[in-house]
Amino acid sequence: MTAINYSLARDALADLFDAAIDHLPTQIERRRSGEAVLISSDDLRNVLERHEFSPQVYFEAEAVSIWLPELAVWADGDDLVTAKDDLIGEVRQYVEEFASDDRLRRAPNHRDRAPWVLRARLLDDEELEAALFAEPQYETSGFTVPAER
Amino acid sequence: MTSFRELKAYLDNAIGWEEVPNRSRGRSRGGDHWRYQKALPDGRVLRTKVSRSLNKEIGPILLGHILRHQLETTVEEFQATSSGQGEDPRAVRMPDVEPMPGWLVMRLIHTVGLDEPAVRALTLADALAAWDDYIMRLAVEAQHATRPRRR
Repeated sequence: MTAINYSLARDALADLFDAAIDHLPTQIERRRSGEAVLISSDDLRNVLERHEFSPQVYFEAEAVSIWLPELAVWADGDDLVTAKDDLIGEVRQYVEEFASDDRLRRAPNHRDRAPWVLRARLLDDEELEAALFAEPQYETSGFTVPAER
Repeated sequence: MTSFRELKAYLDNAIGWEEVPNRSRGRSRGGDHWRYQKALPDGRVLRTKVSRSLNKEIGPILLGHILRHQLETTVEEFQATSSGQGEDPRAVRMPDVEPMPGWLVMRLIHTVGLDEPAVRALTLADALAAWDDYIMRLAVEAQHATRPRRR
């Protein structure tokens, strides 16, 4: 991957943007701040596809509950449809908290959830529902759910 | 059974839990909750939510997840902190039922054509078997469809 320092990147942003759209991401380095990558959202979506969700559905006596281990959130409803809607709301809530709450984003039990948060951010509600309930494709990919205690 | 009233009492009484803003308002159900966080000395942050329908009961399996993964507490501590109104801690069951994967539930309803009560009645093993049967049936039908006919 092409690497370039921050000042040069600022001057060449239009070219770097075009390159990113053309599937050529650029690593941008800034002294003392670290590195970031300019990548197209399509490529990022593809990279993040391997971070699958694995909601667990519980049919309780008078309700349906769903536990989502990747974000450690739960949802419930009188039936599956309302529980599913609640889950999408919960994921959106978590994504918003992650973006606005430095303490949460940097917490050791939350920071590893960033890829799932980023993936959810890139999806609209319909796409998010499909992603949440998609059949697993990468069982042997080696990705693990963030540690729970 | 435990209700959200007891969960809220626990969060109000236990040390360190603070209410945080609700950011999913406007959604049909996502905004109907109080949100709480607790910062731990090791930097970790616990978070949970409470339904505003305080009398609503929390299913035992869901309660198990909340206690274990969100509050990081025991049934006994939860009962004592949430005011100890006499419920036997042993009456609260931690999760001991295998959950059904979300994708499998959706496949059985939207692809196989079962309705929700039918899926609800299945064990995990039966649900997986129903999905395998469906896939097998499709494979056999596809084989018949592509086999050349004899005259």
